[in-house]
Amino acid sequence: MKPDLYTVILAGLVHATLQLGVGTLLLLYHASLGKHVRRKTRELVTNYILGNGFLTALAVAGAGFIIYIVCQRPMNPAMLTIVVGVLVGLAVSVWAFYYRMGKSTELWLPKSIANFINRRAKLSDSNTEAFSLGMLACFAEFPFTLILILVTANSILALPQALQILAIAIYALLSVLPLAIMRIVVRKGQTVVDIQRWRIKNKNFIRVISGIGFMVLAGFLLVFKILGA
Amino acid sequence: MLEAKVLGISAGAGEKYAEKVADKIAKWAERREEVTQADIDAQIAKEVSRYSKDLAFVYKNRGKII
Repeated sequence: MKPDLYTVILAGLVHATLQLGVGTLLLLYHASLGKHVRRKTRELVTNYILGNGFLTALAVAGAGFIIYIVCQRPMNPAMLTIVVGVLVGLAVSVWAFYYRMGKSTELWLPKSIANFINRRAKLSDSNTEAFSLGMLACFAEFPFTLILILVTANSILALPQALQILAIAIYALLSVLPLAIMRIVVRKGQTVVDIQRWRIKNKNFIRVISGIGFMVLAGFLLVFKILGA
Repeated sequence: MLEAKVLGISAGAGEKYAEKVADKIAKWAERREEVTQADIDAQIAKEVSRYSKDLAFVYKNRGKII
């Protein structure tokens, strides 16, 4: 049980290092602070975080259901070997092209999708729209997070039933942890400019940590689920 | 003006900055035969940085968050 729980926690932390959700939240803050009173901005941000966490939890539950339907139990070592290969590939991808070149935090996203998210962030005036924006940011990050969700769902299936819902909640909470931290930091008085400066300054560090996280998760699965099976 | 509001700069100060920067940019552009959008953006960022470093930062990083 312990390796499975640790896998969920590790996957959640790796998910937390990815930056699309954080960047979109920054856009929402920037757009909202110029238009609304602070209380309204706080409501929008809360709904954004809830939307992001909701889709993450839903994706994990859905992935678990699909794995159960297809395999009747957690994935076998052969399938997990493919998962490990994808994790290693994503680690290299994160190091190589997660961020675009230049002194900014522009991501790998196609420009049309980045512009669409930008537009949606500017037009999010209601709680429902902010919630949907959170879900959109979560969905747009799927190329990098889907494998983490799959790994988490697989580990959750191996847990006792009583712990499965808790494990889904733990993963969702860990994945939105940076968003919650940003909310607290802005509440304490930091501006969006301070946060963006911090992101640019620490961009390479975050990228390295993220890639290492993917590698460590791959190693964890290899040792405990494939070789230890 | 929106950016100024986000950064907590008063509306009056924001308008003053905008007027002064617009004057400077107009004079700068008059001395040149051709200018590109990138030239104008860089010059605006340079002029705005005289009044507010944060505002200049926001202007330089527009569209570069994600």
